[in-house]
Amino acid sequence: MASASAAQEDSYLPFSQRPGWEDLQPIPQADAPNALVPIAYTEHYRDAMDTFRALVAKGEKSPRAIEVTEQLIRMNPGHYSIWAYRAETLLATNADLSKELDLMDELVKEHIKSYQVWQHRRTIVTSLQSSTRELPFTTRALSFDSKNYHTWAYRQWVLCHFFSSQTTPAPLSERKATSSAEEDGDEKKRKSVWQEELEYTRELLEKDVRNNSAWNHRFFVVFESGEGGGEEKEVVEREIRYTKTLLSLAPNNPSAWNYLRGILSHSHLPLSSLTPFVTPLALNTPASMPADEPPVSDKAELPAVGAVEWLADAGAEEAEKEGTEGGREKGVEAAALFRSLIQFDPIRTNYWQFRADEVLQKVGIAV
Amino acid sequence: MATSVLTMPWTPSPSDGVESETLTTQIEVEQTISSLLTTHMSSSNSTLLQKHQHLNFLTAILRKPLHPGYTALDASRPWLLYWTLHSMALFEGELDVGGKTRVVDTLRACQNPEGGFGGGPGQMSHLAPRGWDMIDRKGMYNFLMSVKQPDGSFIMHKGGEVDVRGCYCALTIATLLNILTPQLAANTSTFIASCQTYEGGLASSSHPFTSSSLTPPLGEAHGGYTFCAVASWAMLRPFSNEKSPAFKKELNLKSLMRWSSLVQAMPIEGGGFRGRTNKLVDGCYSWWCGGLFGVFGGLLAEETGEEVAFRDVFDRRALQEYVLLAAQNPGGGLRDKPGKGPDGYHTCYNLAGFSAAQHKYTLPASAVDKCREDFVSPFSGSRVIEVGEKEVEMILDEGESQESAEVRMREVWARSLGWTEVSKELVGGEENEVMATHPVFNLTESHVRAMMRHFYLQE
Ligand SMILES: [Zn+2]
Repeated sequence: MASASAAQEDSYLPFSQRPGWEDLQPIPQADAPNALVPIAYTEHYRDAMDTFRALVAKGEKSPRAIEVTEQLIRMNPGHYSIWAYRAETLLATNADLSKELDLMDELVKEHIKSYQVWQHRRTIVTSLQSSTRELPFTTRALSFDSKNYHTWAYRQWVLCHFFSSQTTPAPLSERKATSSAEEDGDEKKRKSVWQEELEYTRELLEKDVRNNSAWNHRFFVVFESGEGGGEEKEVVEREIRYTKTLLSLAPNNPSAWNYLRGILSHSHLPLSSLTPFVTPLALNTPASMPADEPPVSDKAELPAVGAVEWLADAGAEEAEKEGTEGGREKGVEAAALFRSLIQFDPIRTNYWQFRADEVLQKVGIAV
Repeated sequence: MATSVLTMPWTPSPSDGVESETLTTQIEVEQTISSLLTTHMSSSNSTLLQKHQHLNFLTAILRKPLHPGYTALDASRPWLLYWTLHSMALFEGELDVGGKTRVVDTLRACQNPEGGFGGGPGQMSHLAPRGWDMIDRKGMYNFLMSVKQPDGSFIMHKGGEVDVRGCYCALTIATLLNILTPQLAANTSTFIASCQTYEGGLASSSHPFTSSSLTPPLGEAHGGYTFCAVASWAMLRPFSNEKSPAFKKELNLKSLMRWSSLVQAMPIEGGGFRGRTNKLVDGCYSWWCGGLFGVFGGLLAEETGEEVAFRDVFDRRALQEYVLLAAQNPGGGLRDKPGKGPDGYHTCYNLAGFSAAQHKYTLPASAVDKCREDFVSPFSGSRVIEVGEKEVEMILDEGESQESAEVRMREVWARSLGWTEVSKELVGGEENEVMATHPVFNLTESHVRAMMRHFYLQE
């Protein structure tokens, strides 16, 4: 491959010699003569950059600016000045923005880690005011990189921006006379988008129960969007049940424990409300799991650190509430549980020790 | 008692009989790292930081033209300079005078006529790069105000993305250059707090729903964003008035501490840090996560009294072992993990995390008080301007009196320079010691002090 690209380099025709470009005087980079961290650019990149600078100097927003910026972002997707100029040019020339999305679809696989690709896409769809392609697009991107940070942040932005209830309501005077049936239809469609999001996280977690991005998205959909589907109390119960089921299957999964903690703290419930479920996982007594809780998998490796930590934190929470009066016994118990974690999880010795001392101090026991 | 990841039990991640992609990649890394640790134990190799080889690696980045493969960093050349120079500074590797002139020349070519610095000559100003004496401070201030958003966040550049990295870069620059006005700081702590997720760490950004008051975080808790957010929070403390009824302790430090502790990797992975729950250990989080403990230790010291600030919460020795045994590339430079190549970014953040693990910093109230007392009014004109030195203009907010400007400058000064080293822990002996790095700014302390003296007109 090396020789092929070398040959390409040899036959490279600079922009200034191409028809339709002769009028542009390329502007070379004004680097300091002795500059540090210099980069040995390829001839193609250097020439395209020199041409780009010439266009910017003229303030020219034209089809050829779109052409040269495309070549540049293909070579360097992290170049924010180029993306920004391209976006301005596309909007100024009323370019076909759905074509731009085609290009983005093509580039995403290679450039998925670049901030700029995602920011550019936001600019384009905001201007298009159309979200139809966006969720399927991110689903495709996540199918080959299921934890990509930018993709998830983008998907959540799409949901906030386009699928919030009563998104951008027009002033009454400008509203078309829509029948209430039509409005109901829109609202139904919107609600089904959130329903599908919930189903999507379920599918992802079925594939990989340890995918923290999928857990995080579920929390976003259920608790942070206010679109979790149903009455608050029912939703909380449904989510607790769902998480318990996945913890009974694989109790050594910090993502699921964090999610369960998230639900309780969101609903202002004490950790101790789940003690009956957590205890068998913490004490390695799976047979004692209450009958109305999901049964523990026989392959579960117990005790699970996340369960022991839960019991310790639950005890600390109660001890702190009761304080120096009635909390002493519970405090001592919680401290013992924190210290027992040192054996299973020695890297966090200092943290477990810190938590143990903290709870003892709160109940008035000197350490 | 000195502990070591080499003597702790190497327990592999439990599978619970449920296979998944996360588990498979995790087990692979556990095997790679533990077999490297085994080789280390059976050989007579010392756990030495290969300073000389790393310096050679850094010098090469600085001076030799980089391979065209580095074109992706064309818009990040000031960053490349920072990673390289800060790494060298941690080794006490001073540039010669010629080298220093070249740094200033390189950066000067990146400064925009209308203020701020771009990623390369002639590039649009971007929040990330930083420099020093040829800086047009007024221009920088105008640039920062132009990227500030009404909700308190900062965009990375005009038309660019909103995220907490922008806040961190803006506040660091503004603190060091003494241009952190109340207007520049307004609402930013509220934005930061809105990025905290249910896990306790912070996400890249947050975004309001059109129709409700909800402002959910975008993305999941992540080491890099968490550091930027928490360090920003610390820089904003002079502007949060605890006596005002609006003041809320919006950042949950307790859940933050839990999350940060939980992302330290297990002995079988070498004891470094991962960036998110259930992701793989990576050397750059030695700083982003390892460095967090210093910052929120200082914040906790304020909230709960002194004692906690002096305790170790994470395993400092294990982190040093990860850097020494897993992250050092045999030919020089540092890396993400064994099997990956070294680069400037991972070299810088491994070394900075290594430094944070060696030198424990906190923010004792007594040290902050002392800095407050020693501060002289920058408006008194008592400092003698040396020949050839440029005069530093004091930049005030609209309608701000000199008295109130002096109060906030003193606060920013005291909370930036009150950070104090309280204990030192060196794995592998004295020759492994690197310079201490400032827990908030990630610059060596002498650089921070020299720069702030200059811009705050202190002796
Ligand atoms: Zn990394």
